[in-house]
Amino acid sequence: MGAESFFFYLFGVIVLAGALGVVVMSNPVYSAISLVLCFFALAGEYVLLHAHFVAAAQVLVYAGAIMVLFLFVIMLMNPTPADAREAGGSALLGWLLGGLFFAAIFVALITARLPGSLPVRSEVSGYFGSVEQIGAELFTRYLWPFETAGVILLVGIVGVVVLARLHRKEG
Amino acid sequence: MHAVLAPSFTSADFWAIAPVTFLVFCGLAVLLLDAFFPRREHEWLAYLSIASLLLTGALASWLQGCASREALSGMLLTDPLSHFAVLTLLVAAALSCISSLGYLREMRADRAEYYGLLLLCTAGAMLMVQAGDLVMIFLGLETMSIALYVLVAMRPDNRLSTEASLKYFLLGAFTSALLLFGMALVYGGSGGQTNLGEILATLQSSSAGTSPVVLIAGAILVLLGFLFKVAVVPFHMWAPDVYLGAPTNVTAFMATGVKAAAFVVLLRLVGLSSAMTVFRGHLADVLWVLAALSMTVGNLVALQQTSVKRMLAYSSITHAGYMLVGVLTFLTSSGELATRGTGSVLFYLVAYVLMNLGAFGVVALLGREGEEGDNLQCFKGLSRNRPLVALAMAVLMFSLAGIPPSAGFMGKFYLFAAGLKAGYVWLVVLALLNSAISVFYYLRVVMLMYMQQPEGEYRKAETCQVCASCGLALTSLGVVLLGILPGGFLHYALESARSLLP
Repeated sequence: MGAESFFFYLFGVIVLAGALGVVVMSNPVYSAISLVLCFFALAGEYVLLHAHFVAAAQVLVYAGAIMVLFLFVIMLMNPTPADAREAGGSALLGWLLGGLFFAAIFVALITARLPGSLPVRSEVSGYFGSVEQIGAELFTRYLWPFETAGVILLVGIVGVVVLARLHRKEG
Repeated sequence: MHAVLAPSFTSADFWAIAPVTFLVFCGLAVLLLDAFFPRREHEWLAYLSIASLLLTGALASWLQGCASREALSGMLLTDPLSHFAVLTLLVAAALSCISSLGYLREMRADRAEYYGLLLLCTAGAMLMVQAGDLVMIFLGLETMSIALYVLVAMRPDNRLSTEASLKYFLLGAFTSALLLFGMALVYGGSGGQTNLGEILATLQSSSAGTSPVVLIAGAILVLLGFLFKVAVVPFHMWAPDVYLGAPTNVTAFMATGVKAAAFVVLLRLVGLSSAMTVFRGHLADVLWVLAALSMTVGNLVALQQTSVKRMLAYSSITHAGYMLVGVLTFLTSSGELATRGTGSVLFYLVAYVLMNLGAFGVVALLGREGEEGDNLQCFKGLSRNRPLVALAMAVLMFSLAGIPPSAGFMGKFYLFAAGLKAGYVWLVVLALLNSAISVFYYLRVVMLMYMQQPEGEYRKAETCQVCASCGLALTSLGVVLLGILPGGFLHYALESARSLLP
């Protein structure tokens, strides 16, 4: 096993553990910290893919800015830890169905004859993944999606303002 | 030094994005106008919104001549199919705006942001139907959905509305995750393509070393996402609750415009999937079962509803099942028959849009003082109190049931004829049986309106309902016209459908 696949599996395990922690932890602060862990390991995977800029953005934007906001909101709201026992029978059903689904996918995956290798783009140069290339792609080929993303953010902001003001008395 | 792609933005690109950009600016203008000129009543913004929707339609039709088939490096398609879908969407949004006149004030939900968000939502749906790239499909879908989550929650102090919004949000987020994961798999499996045309080219030259398993897994997830959005059984659980809780005019737009947009994208994706020969047969089997289930389950549950909104929600699941017959025809046949399958879906979509906008419009007209008029009781003896509204509702119900001469009948006729030609005899028989069952619950409304005495005093509306009634008249006239003279329109639908074939 080469160093690259070693780090791939290492980061992969951390990503999965972090993601599982987000769902399983009963204290929302722990969930948020697990998410930070998940994001950091994901950034590691990006580095392995030569996507250095994306990795840096992942750490700065997600693990940094967004998670700090998450933690702020969680601490402002100060929610009580969720009690898993309240769910009762439906939790059992959930585990059962989830387990069955997992088993089905697992069986399908090991019986499916996956082709040996995925198509590989041969021409990966040092230029790949650089800020320069991402900028060039964003403003040429992906110009229209880039502009549309702005509309999505705007709709989100307007929506939040509307929902926040919805229950305030008029006048 | 590396070669940097030269930015290219031609005038053809500009004309291609002009309609949707115009609509986005109109949405922003409506939002800002309310901030600068606040008034207690916001009906003037409704008129402005209707005008901007119509102008967008005119602009799109005018520019259709000078635009090429795709623009902005294949991100945006301006083929006849997307033009057809855009016009359908704009009509749906405009009619939903008309039905909100009066209704929103009656519901104490008259807010200026409603109109701005509706325009932005329509722009998102336009982006989605015009998308020539998986990235754009996703971005359009998100723009549309985020606006819808808010629109659904617009009724203040109403638990049903909040519940509907939360349900729609959670399932929408789930769907987006499926869709995005599927898109990532398709990207990996096709050798790094997101452009629909390039993916198709890769699929057709299957010796190019693509990996079918990853591609198929991706295609399944992407299709699943859109089957959720068009609400076919078993992905329909959200629809009745969301349709019931949302303000009626929003429900009208969700059941028509949004569904039409999702169906058009579904057609594009199914067109791609039919190039995967291994996958095509299996997909056809699955769609067959989904179509049969949707028709039957939707119908049987609709029989038991006492709320007309819920009844229409289940009936919309049934209609999605009927339309899957046309999608199946498109998937498994080639040449002229495939065009007929798609064309009949497009024709039915327009008929369906008109019928449902009208029916939800009637429900909106009956809303009084913060209470919805969607209970079957509200329709008792309506022909005495509001003869014209009752007449329009009767026309729409006959059309939904598929009784000639109406758009619903012609639409079903074309769909089932194409399905029979493609060899789906049993599915068409099931669809016909289901149409017969559906007559019962549609005509129950007509019977209540015409053969029963009104219960209690008829409450007059506080607001002027002239405009909303005019919208109702337009939809019923459209339904009758499409039923009597379907030829020209069918030709248009078939011409639009032709652009889907490579």
